Amino acid sequence: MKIYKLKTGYTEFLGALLQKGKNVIAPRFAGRTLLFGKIDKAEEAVLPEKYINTVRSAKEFMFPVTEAVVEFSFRNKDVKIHDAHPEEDEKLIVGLRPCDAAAFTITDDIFNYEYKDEFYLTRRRNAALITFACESIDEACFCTSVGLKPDSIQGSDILFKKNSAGTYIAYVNSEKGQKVIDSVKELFEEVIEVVEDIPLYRDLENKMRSPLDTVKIKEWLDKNFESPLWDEYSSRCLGCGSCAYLCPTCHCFDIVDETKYSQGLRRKNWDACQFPLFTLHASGHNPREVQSKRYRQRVMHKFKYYSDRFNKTLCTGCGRCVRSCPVNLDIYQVVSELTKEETA
Amino acid sequence: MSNDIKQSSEAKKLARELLEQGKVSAVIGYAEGTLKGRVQTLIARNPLDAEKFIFNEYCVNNLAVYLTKSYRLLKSDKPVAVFLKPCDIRTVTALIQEHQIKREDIFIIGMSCQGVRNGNGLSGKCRACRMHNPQYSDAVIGEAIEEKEPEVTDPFARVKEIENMSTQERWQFWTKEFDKCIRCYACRQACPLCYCEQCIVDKTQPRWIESSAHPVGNMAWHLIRAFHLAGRCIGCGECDRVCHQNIPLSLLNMKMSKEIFDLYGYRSGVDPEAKPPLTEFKMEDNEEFIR
Ligand code: SF4
Ligand code: SF4
Ligand code: SF4
Ligand code: SF4
Ligand code: SF4
Repeated sequence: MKIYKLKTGYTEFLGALLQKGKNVIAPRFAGRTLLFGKIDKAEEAVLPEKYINTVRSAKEFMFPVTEAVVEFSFRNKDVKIHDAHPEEDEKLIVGLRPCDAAAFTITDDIFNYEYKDEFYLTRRRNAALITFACESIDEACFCTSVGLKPDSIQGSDILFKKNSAGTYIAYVNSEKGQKVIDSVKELFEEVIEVVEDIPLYRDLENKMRSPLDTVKIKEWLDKNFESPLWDEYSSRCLGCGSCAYLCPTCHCFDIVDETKYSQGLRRKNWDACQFPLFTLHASGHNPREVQSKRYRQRVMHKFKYYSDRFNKTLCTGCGRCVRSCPVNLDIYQVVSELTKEETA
Repeated sequence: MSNDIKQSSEAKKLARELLEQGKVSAVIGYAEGTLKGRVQTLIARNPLDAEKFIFNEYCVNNLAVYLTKSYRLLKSDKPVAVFLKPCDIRTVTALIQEHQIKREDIFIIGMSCQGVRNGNGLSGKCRACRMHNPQYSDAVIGEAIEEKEPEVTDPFARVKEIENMSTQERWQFWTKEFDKCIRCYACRQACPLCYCEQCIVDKTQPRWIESSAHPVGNMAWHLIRAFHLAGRCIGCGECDRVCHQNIPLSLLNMKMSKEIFDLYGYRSGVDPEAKPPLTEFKMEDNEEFIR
């Protein structure tokens, strides 16, 4: 695939896309909170060198916090049911980090498994992921533990990196990416020669928490479903769900019916295994009746079950769960310490 | 020795002794965190774990949250010990008043406190704090601190600003804030006074509060929670701290506290003998607002 040099800055790039009538989603401030959102003016977007990552990941543009999946109305015995459909418009998600772009390559497997989730898949098909390599990291980041790097291209349609002169170099990774470049061709110049490996990215990689051994972690998890360590580590978990809601790879949802008078919507809402209601049966029995069992599910799903099924770790090391946990229950620390313990 | 180190070592020693002598079933306290400026919760059940306890300016969490909810640690016949800052102790008072815990089931390790940080600066609650010395404690860790006039003398200043907005401005302010809510309920889970076995938002037959993160559902959730905390919230600021979307939740709860104070002269968690006004009836109660 091709490599280009961006002749302008970030803002001009966004401006040109907007000018062409594109639907641009980029990190911008909502009050004090950095979130992805649709931008109308290029200046609203925060420059990639100004943030480590957004508070929420970009997953909500494929899998929204809430969305209608069925519409219904009833009058006596006359019930009408219509399928709802996802919007079809194209989106350019710009300014995401390699961990968030990679997350989609992981969740694609589940939404494309036995049941094809039309909502996720349609939006996914219509979205181009335009990633900017990380220029800074914090203590919570651990992407190198799960095979990623501050400048990984996995999942991106275009990856922008800076060269030592501070110019953005665009690495095109798909047809979709090429189409985006072509739409604002005047801003780009094709690069033929080999591009230098930029020391910044290697520095960041080396500064990160030392990589986890996911193979060893999985082996430990395979044997330790019943370990007493689960309780020891996680009885302090508040079950607040922040970890799952901010995670780019967590994908659980709940289905609710919301009715007003004689019509309503069936909605698909985010849900999380950290909540007591998540596995509560109609009989009243709850197989995960205490928080430590719910926390175990989180770790097992990320580092064992998903890997059993799809041969992938359900984590991109983005660090959001680490940053947001109110009691500093740090998944990196938990899995690295657990696996040091002898198998029970 | 700096204050931190001294208080940490006193705390370790006390926790170890309590566990060694079998006086408590567990000690809930703070331990070193994995990120700068963050501490971890530690629930120690054996004396060896007590070595990990610390106390410093980052110990912002209100650990009284562990005294209620489904993970009640109080099932044992022995009390449970908790590190509580002077402001956190109000939670225990409020929980006793609401018959959620018994005083003898809790061993309060009161931490004298100069103020704690949330992120870069002094936590908002500490700017207006007038209680640096723990009360009603079974043991106090740290030296007595001289009480002085706080940096912020009117804790309700921001609430008043919002009260002074026009109805429309206020509506806009809150719809914009609530728009960010993703209904994770971290605010509820971190709140020591949101201890209901089944929260109203989880009730489905009938469903009172829509659980979807749309404007109607979000507004309903925040209003009902504010009402449920009226006259009960002790102002620990945990809901605010844990909301990753930075929704200023404590403003809602402060507003309710202000109303209750203006109407009944009552502050939650301050006086263990006082009766919470919303659970008590008095002939002379102010009822001008009932029309
Ligand atoms: S588990 Fe945590 S670090 Fe991993 S992808 Fe999810 S939020 Fe990021
Ligand atoms: S963010 Fe922390 S406290 Fe909240 S559910 Fe996740 S691990 Fe538990
Ligand atoms: S913590 Fe914040 S985002 Fe989560 S439910 Fe509460 S207000 Fe909403
Ligand atoms: S509502 Fe907020 S400030 Fe009040 S007690 Fe609960 S967590 Fe603390
Ligand atoms: S919001 Fe209300 S019902 Fe829900 S836990 Fe808090 S006090 Fe209970």
